[in-house]
Amino acid sequence: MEKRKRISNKSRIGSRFLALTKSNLKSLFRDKLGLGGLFAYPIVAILIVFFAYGFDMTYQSAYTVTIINNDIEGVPIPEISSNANASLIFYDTLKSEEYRDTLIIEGYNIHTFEEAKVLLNFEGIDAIIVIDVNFSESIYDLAGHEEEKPKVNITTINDLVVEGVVGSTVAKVVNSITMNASGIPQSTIVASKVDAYAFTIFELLAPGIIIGAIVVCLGHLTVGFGMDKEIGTLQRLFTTPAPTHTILLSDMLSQFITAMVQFTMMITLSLILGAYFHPNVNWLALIIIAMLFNLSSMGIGMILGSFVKNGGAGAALSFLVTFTIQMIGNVYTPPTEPMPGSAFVPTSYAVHAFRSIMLSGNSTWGAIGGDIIFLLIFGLSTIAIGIICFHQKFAITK
Amino acid sequence: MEYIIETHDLKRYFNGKIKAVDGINLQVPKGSLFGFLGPNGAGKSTTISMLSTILPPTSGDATIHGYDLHKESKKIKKLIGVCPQELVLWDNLTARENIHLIAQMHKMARSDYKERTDELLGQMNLLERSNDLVRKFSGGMKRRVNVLMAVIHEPEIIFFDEPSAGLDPQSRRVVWDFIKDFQRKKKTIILTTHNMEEADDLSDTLVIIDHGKIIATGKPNDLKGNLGNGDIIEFKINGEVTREELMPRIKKLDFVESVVPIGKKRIALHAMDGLRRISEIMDTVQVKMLDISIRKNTLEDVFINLTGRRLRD
Repeated sequence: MEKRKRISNKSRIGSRFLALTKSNLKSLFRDKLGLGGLFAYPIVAILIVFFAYGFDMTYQSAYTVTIINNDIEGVPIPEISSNANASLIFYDTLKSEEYRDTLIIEGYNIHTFEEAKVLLNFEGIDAIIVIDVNFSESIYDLAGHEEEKPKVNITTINDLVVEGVVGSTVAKVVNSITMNASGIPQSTIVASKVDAYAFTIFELLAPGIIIGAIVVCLGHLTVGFGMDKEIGTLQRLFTTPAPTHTILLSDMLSQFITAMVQFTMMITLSLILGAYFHPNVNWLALIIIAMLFNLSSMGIGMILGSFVKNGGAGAALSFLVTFTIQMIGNVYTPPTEPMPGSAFVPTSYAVHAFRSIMLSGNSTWGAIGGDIIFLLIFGLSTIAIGIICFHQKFAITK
Repeated sequence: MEYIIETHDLKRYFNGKIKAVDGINLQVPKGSLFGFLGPNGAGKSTTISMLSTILPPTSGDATIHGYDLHKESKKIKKLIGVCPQELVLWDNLTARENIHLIAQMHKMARSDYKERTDELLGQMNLLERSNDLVRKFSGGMKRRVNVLMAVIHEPEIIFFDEPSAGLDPQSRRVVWDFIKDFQRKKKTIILTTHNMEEADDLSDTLVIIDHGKIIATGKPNDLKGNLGNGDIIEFKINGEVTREELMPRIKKLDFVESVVPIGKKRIALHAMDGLRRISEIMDTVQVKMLDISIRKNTLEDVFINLTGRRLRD
């Protein structure tokens, strides 16, 4: 009899935690219906976005450009006692009926090249036209001098056709202006390509959809706690010597693992569907962000789980919260139009970091460090609050 | 006598006003099988929830094996096993995995709990189905697994909350034999039930509880004996005469010890040598007596005598 009551003398640090996690995972993966729902939702979501926005369905007859005009002053013309600004003529000509089918001008409020480059990446802008500061001067004062040809810099996406069409159109317009001014058509068009990529809406939304999939596990954790309370399994565990935090964290870990499996599936599916991954994408950084965001989601799920009394209430409450933080967290909105209040939800930080890593290939500390810090602090603090809430709400004796 | 559980004025109110348990004082002798008998909602399960540390009392004190319920729940949890009234199982685990999980929570050595699980499953006739998922089990099989999970770690104190609820007579007998086996091992068992046969058959000491209060305590035979050694005669009357008119007349009979109204039209009386003297009762009543039954008194009669209600009312 004494032998039976023996407590294992092996090192048992975390043995309860591992046993519970193993049981939770077994339960989870044997529940075919629940598992189907868990994995189906994000897959369906990404497929819907893919079929809605993944194809370029319209023939592109015009390229979208933005103009940065450095020739603000123009040049003084003594005959009329005023300044003449050839850049405005250039601007008006490009906007005229004649070129409407070739170029569409966007981004009037853009003043710097860096700002314009963001548009080049994310807003479907095909080219940036930079008018030189001496543009008017070279047309009106020094016309005829070969070395002072009016200068326009063009930066296009990495596409020869775009470079050719935009470059030749701009040259034609500048030549028409110099022809009127001096009788000699001349221009200098400096064209360069940047490693920019014209994203489809699907490609822009894909990082958010992947993040959105991870959030779904928040709901599963909440519903799981609700059902555990409803069935009584949580109460049954609370009658054993297993510490409360061990029980709760093991539930959390099993959902965490499930979310990471989901994440892997979503990344794979995104690759198959042709979502954009920058050549310099840092996979490790992507995984770290996914894990940190997962931690934040689990923390929210833990807090919600402490309040709900059954699975139904858990489903309703978690749907509301998941939907809200997806919407506020820029999951379904382009990066240049952040939702109000997005600074307060972890989703927006994760989406920001994902877009930076996936679309720009930028995983430097400067780019995603803030996101990492926010997600880490948010995740750890919400998990701690969740455990405290369970102690308070579940009325466990000390 | 050594008491393993002692409570003093233990109370649990819900929402500040519903008195689920209203000042219970208990002294449970070590190694006894202590029964709680009472109707649904009497406060039996709430008492067990408090003693098993998952529900804090509103007020009052309790010690279990000398440990304070409020301050030393971790130590108490190592000593107890709880079989809840509901079927609390992980449906997507096998019977064996369910039992192992509880053993692992008590940090039993792997080889020990494996051996003991086989032994227990054999005792409950579940060995052949031990590797099947519990969700495929019948209600009776689930109930038996529910019981095994409470005892895998051989606790000193076992709480059985309605352990045979919903079981067929054969399965119920298996569970009762199983509980009696622990009784023989001198484990302390707390059993709640609203089944008078179960309470009578298993309990060493019985507490009758109603509306959150203890209304009688004693050995089952003593409680029944307090009613007397006669027969219980129960009958229904038609509407011609009211019970209020009849009951004083019956009470005047010298062989009648007590008369209790039950429900709307029934009367139960406790009478010495009732079977032989039923004609005298009929002469006294002088109205048509319907559905007459004569039997030896039971714990239900004790409850009726104390509350005027049946256990299932």
